[in-house]
Amino acid sequence: MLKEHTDEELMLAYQLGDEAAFRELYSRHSGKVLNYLRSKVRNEAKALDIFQAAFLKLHKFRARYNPTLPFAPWLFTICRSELLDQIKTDRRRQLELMVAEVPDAPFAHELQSQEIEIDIKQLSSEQRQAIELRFHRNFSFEDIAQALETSPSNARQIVSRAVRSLKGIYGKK
Amino acid sequence: MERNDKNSWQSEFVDFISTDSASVPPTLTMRILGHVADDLNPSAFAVFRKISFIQFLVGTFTLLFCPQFGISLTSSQGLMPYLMKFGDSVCMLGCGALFTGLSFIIVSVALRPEEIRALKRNEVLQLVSLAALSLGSFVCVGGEIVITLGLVWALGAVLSAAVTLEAGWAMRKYFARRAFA
Repeated sequence: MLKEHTDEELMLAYQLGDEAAFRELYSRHSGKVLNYLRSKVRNEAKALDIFQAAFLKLHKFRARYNPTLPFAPWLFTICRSELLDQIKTDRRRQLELMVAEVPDAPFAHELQSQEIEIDIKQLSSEQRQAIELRFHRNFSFEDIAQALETSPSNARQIVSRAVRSLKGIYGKK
Repeated sequence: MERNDKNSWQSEFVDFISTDSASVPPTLTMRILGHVADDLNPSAFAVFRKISFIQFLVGTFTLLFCPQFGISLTSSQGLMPYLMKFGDSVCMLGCGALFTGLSFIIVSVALRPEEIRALKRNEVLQLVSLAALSLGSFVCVGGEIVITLGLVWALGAVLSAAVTLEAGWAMRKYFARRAFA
């Protein structure tokens, strides 16, 4: 019987406490949401985390939905917002890791104590690659040197310079 | 991916709409549906606690103008002389109806929709328990209750609560639908 209802009618029923309406909405859209998230996040576990967070957010904010507006864009907005939040959190964690690698106590402390975003795209391609290998893939400086076709000490300098640049970018903000 | 980029949002939305459906791991589905089910089905006891609290506040307020079993917050007899014109039973029925009726107007507005659904699932038990609890409370604070009249009072209280709850809930659903019509 619920299958005959539109998404918007189901949302209205769900807002009035109807659990079956949520189940129907979930069965209609969960597969699409998961596939979308998988296409955006390579890590399966992370995609599932965002998926769960998105549906719990939908549940939490169900009363804010206006049933005169289409449901799909609202659902998509929630998924996208969860995805963006996850990306932001990941970036922040990566930065904290980088800062922890370069002992510079006052700066590191200041940096970690604030919520910041740094665009790694502002680095040179070599520096970006070095940062990626060092902090995302946990390569040793020897391995980075091999990948960048340079010496280990030079690889260390490239990483160090990249971290300094990031600190500089942060300092300007 | 920028949050405020409208074009980016639109193109991603098109991707989202046209994407195929994947199968969601059953454990994850169970976790999400379980969370929602728990939230949308509050326990009868939790709901009873809430309505008892509202009843305590509003019921106490009604004692300002409608004494119950000789208990009043003022020295005046309030509505009692008017109701007594129709006899003891009608007076008791009216007092019970007033005592819970006003509370259940508040209940039908203040409770979350899922709490009202939970209340309606075992409505008779909840309302009879509330009436019994109220009568017990009156006895504790020195009320003079005759069993037959006490039963009439309870009948008025239960009927009034049921009718007000039904009316309040119907209006709430009506306005929810109307707001989006």
